[in-house]
Parts: sequence; C-alpha cells; structure tokens
Amino acid sequence: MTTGLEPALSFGSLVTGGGNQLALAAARAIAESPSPPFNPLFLFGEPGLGKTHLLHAIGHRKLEVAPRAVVRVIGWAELSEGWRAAVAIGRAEAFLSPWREADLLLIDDVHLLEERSAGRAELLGLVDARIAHRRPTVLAGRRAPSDLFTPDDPAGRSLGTGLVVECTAPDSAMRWEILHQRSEDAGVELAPAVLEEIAGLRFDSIRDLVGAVNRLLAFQSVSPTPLDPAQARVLITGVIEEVAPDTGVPVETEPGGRPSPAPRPSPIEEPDEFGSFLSEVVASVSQQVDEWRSRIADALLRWQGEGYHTARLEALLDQELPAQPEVVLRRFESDIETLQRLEAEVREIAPDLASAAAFRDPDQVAMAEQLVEQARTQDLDASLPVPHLRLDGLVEGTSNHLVLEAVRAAATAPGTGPNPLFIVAESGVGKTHLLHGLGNALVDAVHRGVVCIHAHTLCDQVQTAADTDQLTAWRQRFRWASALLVDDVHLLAGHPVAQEELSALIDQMLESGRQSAFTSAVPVAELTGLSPQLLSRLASGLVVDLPRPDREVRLGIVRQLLTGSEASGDAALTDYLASRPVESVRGLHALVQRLLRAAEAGQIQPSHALARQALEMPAARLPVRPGPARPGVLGPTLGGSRLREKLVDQWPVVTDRLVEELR
Amino acid sequence: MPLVNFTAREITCKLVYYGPGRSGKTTNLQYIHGRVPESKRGRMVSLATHGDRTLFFDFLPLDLGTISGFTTRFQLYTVPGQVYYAATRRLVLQGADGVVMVADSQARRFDENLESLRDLQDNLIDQGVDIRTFPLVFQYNKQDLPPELILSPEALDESLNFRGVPSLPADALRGTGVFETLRSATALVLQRLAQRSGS
Repeated sequence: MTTGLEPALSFGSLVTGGGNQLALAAARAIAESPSPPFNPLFLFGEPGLGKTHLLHAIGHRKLEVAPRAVVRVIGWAELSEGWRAAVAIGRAEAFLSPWREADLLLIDDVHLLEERSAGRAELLGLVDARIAHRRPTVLAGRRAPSDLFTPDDPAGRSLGTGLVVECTAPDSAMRWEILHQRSEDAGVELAPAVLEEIAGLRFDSIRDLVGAVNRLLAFQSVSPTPLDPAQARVLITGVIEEVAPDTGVPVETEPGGRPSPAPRPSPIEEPDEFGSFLSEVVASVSQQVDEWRSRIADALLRWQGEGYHTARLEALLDQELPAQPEVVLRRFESDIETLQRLEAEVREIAPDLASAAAFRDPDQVAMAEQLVEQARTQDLDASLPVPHLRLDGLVEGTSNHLVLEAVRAAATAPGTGPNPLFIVAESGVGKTHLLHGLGNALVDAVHRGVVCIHAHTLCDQVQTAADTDQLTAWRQRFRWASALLVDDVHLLAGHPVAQEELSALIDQMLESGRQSAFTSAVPVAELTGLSPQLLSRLASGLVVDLPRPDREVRLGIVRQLLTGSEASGDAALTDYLASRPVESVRGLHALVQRLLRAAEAGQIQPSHALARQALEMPAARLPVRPGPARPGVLGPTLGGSRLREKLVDQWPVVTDRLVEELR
Repeated sequence: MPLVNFTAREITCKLVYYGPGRSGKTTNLQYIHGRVPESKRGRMVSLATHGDRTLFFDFLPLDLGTISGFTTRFQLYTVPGQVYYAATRRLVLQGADGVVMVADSQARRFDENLESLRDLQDNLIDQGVDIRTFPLVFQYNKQDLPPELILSPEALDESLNFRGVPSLPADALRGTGVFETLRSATALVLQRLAQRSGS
C-alpha cells in the first residue's frame, strides 16, 4: 500500500553519476533491506538534483521487494498543514498514527521546518518515534541536519543520527547521460557533438539541465537542419545566463576564443556493475546481520510494555553479533511463558505473592518457582500427619492383618494400589493411627503434599472459604496435594458444601492417580447424611474393616505399654491385662494407665495382684494420690483428634470413666 | 579464516576462482578489477615465486566499506589451473568461504574441467569441508565462441553440475556474466553467514 508515489520517479528512470552515486547506493540499501543499516537516511542538496526522484524511487523499490509494505510520502509543508488541521478538530493523534506506523516514510522538503512553526516539535517527535522503533525513514531537504538546528536545540537531533548524504551537481559524464537519455526518450536525435558541447557546460541542477535539453529538443524538432554545437551553445547560454563552463571538467579554449568541445565523457552505456553488486551486498549483509537485532528490539519493546524486565535482551543488543540470538530470544520468551503460568497460579492460591518482582523478571524464574512452591505447600504443610503415628508402631494380629496389608499396599504404590482406601472401624480401635501411619509412609516416599485432615477441619475450611468467597483458592491448594487422607469422614453428614467439595477432590485425585484414603466409624452401607455422589466415590476403591483387637493384638499392645516399666516381662500380668474385656485399643491403654498410676500411687511394683485389685475393686477403695482436680477434657491427643470421646483420657469420677469405657 | 570477526567488526569473504588452466579465472578478476572504483579495490597481486617454492595465484582484495557496522572485505583468489600446482591449489583453497568453478565451455576441454572439479572436491574433502553445503557456483566461460566448438550451459550442467548449484554462462573477456557470477557466489556465502549467526 502506498500514498502519493509518482509512478515515473523510479530507480530505472534515474540517471546515475558522480553526483548521486553514494545517495543511490544508500537509497537502494534502505529500500531493499527490511532492517536498514542506517536510519534515518537524510538526503540534502540544492534544488533540482534529484532528491525527490530518489525519495519516490525508494518508495517504488520498497514496494517491489515488499508488496504489502505501507509506504507513505509527503512534503514537510503538507505534513505540517495536515497536523494543524487535525489539531483544530481534535484529531492530532489520529493524524499522526498512520505516519508513525508506516513501514517506510518518505518526507520531502524537510528544510521547511521552522523553529517556531506550529507542530514542529510534534512532527519531529514523530520522526524520533519512528527511529526509536527502527522504522525506516527517509528525509530530503536543501540543508543538512546540522544546518537546520542549533547545537543546543534538542528537537530534531536524531535526524542526523543515521546516514546523511549530499546530492551534488551532476558531473559531465552524468550530464551527457541525461542529455542522451532525454533525447532518446523524446525520439529526437541530437548530434553527438551537440551532446558533448552541452555536457561540457556547468549546470547547478539536473532540473536546469533538463530544461536546457527540452529547449534543444524543441528547437531541433522544428528545425529542418541538425543543430550544431555552436548553435546549441548559443541557444542554451542565451536562455540560462548562469551557465558557465564546468570547472570540474577542464574546457580548452581554442585560439579563436571558442571553447573547444570537451572531450567526450565516457558514456555510461554499460551498467554500473560494481555499484549494483555493492548495493546487493549492502542489502544482503544488512539483512543478515541486522535482522536479528530488529527482532530482538521488537521483542524488547513488547515485553517492556508488558512490564517485564528485559535486561537479558538489552545485553544482547549491546553485543555486536551474538552467536545465537534466536536461541536467546526463544529462551527468554519461554521464561516469560513460565513466569506467566506461575503468576497465574500464584494469583489463585496466594494473591499477595503475585506482585513479587520475581514474576516479572525472566532472570528470576527459579525464584518465582520457589515462591509458587511455597504457596502450593504452605497450607498443605499444616495438614501433615502426626509424625509419631507410624505403621511400624502398630501391633499386627489376625484381626487387623487384612487392613494393614491394604494400608501397606497403598503406601507402597500410592494411587495405583487400593484407591481410594476406605477404612471402617469402631471408635478407639486405631483407625486414626492407621490413617496417619499411611500418611507418614507416604511422606517418607513422596516427601511433600500429603494432606491428612480430620473431617471437622475439612468442614471448617470449606465453610470459611465459602464465607470469604475463597473456594477457588481453597481448591487450588489441593491441586498440588500428593495424597488426601480424611479421618472420620462420616462426620461430614449434614455438611453438603463440604461433601460436594470432597467429591470433586476425590475425582481430581483419582484422575491424576493420586492416593486418597478415608476412615469412618460407620460402614458405607449405614452412612447417612452423605450425598450419593460422595458415597459412590468413597466406596469406589477398597473398603476394609478394622475389627476390634483380638487377644493376639491386645497382648502385643500390653507388652508395648509395659515396656520400660518394672512390670515389663511379667507374663502373668501381661496375660491378665490382655484378657480384660475391653473392646478397643484405647480401652486397653486406659487399663494399663490405671494400673501404672495405682502402682505409682502405692509406690509398689505393678503386678498381677495389683492389677486385679486396681481393675476389679470399686474405685473408692483404690489408693488415689491426692492432687489438684484435672479437667475432664484435655487438649488434642497425640492422634490430633478433637473428638470429645477421644480426648477423654482421665476422668475424675470413676463411674464416668467406666461409662466411657463401656461405650 | 573466520567469516565474521566480531572483535575486529569485520566481515571477510574469501572467494576462490577454481578451474582448469586457461579457463578464464584471471580474466574474471581482471574484469572485476577494471570495474571497481579505485577507492574500493586493492592492488591486484599475482605471485609467481616465493623462495624455492612456486606459488602462482592472483589476489584481488575488495574493500566494500562499512556495512551494518562491519568492515566488509572480499578477497578474490584464483588458483593455478595446471595439474602440477596441486599444492598451491590446496593452499589457496584453505579457508575459502566460497568457490567459483570456472569451466571452459570448449568441448575439447571437457575432460580438464572434469579433472579440475574432481580435484576441487578432493581438496575440499581433505580440508574437512562438507561439499554438500559449501557455497559453490559454476561459471561456463567462453560461451561467446562458435557453437560448434563449445558445449551449451545445459550440457555442461548435465555433465558437471551434479549438485544443481547456481551456474552462469559467461564471456569473461568482455565481462558478460562476470559480476553475475560474483553476485551469485556472494549471495551463497552471505546466506551461510546468516545460518552461522542463527538468524
């Protein structure tokens, strides 16, 4: 696309010679290279030396090599006038935009900018912006940039930062070529001697020369006889007073005063092969060497605009020619993608961290990852299993062999073994220990992200998140959980939101092959108050019962409890305690504790006799060490449970304790 | 010789004109020399002897000025075509960035063209150059001779240009095809520069 290019003004119709050879090479380079080695190109010289022709030729050539490029050409006066009109109707920015965005902007008559003219600063700012964005810009005017601005004038300083080329008057060879071409174009034959005669005259501009040759052609077209050199000279010198012999080409004067014909300049009939070759090399090298720079600069501007640190790219631009700029750029953009992903995640799980500088600096991806990792696990770490409740602390017997096997299978192959694992057991039988034991085994295996929480905690968290509109963030936390273990899941009855969230979590865990496990005091078939969705998910894996401890298990537990006491190894006592009618592990613990306290109170060694006395006689007769009344409900037990029944460790009134044990 | 010297900010391209004796390699360089402005060309050097060892080649340095901040120089060499200058050919070929294979279009010189081409390939392989990607251009010189004496560019392409690299007919004496050949070789070399710089 283009605006205002004159079709006739192309490189093909431009005569080249000593006066414009450098300008031509520069013009070709900026027209043919997508990333010219210089920007802007400033052409200056007296009127009529072909600056406008060059400007339009650049535009045409640009469209030949890049047909879809947007090329705009305009004179400074026109640009200034347009800006004024745009300001008057409040559309200044809309006016400047197309000029600023054009792929190639050609501005003629730049010398017309005046120091105090309206819009001068804005229009020079337009040029500055183009230069800053590496958009090729060509300016032409009568004076060099250094003559247009005073040294202390900051405006327009950039105009001279590219390549400044002066277009000078044509030399005799160029003049000869212009005369020759013009006469051929007009279909009028001028004698070679006439061409040599006129080419030997000095013309300050090509425009004057063309005017002179037009006069000759007009005269010749109506003259029945060919013009001779003398006639031509008189014809021209009679019209153009300032024409004088070219000082650049010595003209010998014959004794009669008539200048002898200048030696025939070597006609440039052959194309300028080296110039053409040089132009191609310039364009090619510029393209190959500078293309990467342009891409890096574009990327730099883009990512800076989006608020990212671009020090890495800036350092790249400072290098002359990095070994693999594409690789560096790809890596930079890959790091940005990583940062964007991390930032999006942390914005959901820990919005306060999202403003951390690391998320805007591709050189700190590791730091950003660390922050996200912290955010992922900071809440999960609070839900780790109780450390000392381990599988190897459990006494195994016939009654719990099956469930222990299931738990070990889940611990050995999390996600691929029994999943979800649903453990049903009465209260106090040891299902919490089992669950935390599984949790610790998983922590040992995967280290992080094992969530082991009680159903009440889950309900509280969901409720709080729902109340504060943070449910999404709450869910996000579990995205990084490696295992989800929920104790006493039957207590979710009556909490539909928590059930719904847990159903979704189980789905996530199953889909991604992560382990989940649940305990319940109520068998699945008897669970009430839970949604069918949740029930179906809980029962979708392995459901296993943990029975009351059999005698074998009880013996093992008693031995464990007596270990270290004076009664350790007392077979009669151990056998007696294990044969007591308790239905839970917790009850067995209470029996042993009572015995040990009785022994401590009586300052005697625990024995079978003392046990019978302490455990079978009425409580009032028991020796009780006087002491301060203790509260019935203690803090969280080692199992971490907050259930009232599990927190009762010692009751001041024995009847209460017996009632509890009978439950 | 590095193609791009980042420290010195120089781009140096070494082009070697290869081919059998009297195929027109030196004529190519002479024509180029005559068309390059004095400010852009160095002295064309022809070395005949160097001590006891015979060196025989032409050297034309071209200083193309500063392009994109790099001082850009082209060094054009010819190798001695005669069979017995094999050592010199290997020496000149060392570090070349591109080769112009100047073939004599005369039918009676065909075998010499073929021999020179094999010699070129052998030397490049000896120098560890991957000839499949090395910039190479064929110039079929003396196409101005009577048709009955020469092979057509198509026939020469068929017989010599196995890789299908660029080939150009030429009349080096009058300059026809000389700069076209130079441009073609240069373009290949600069393409390689782009690949090396990763752009």
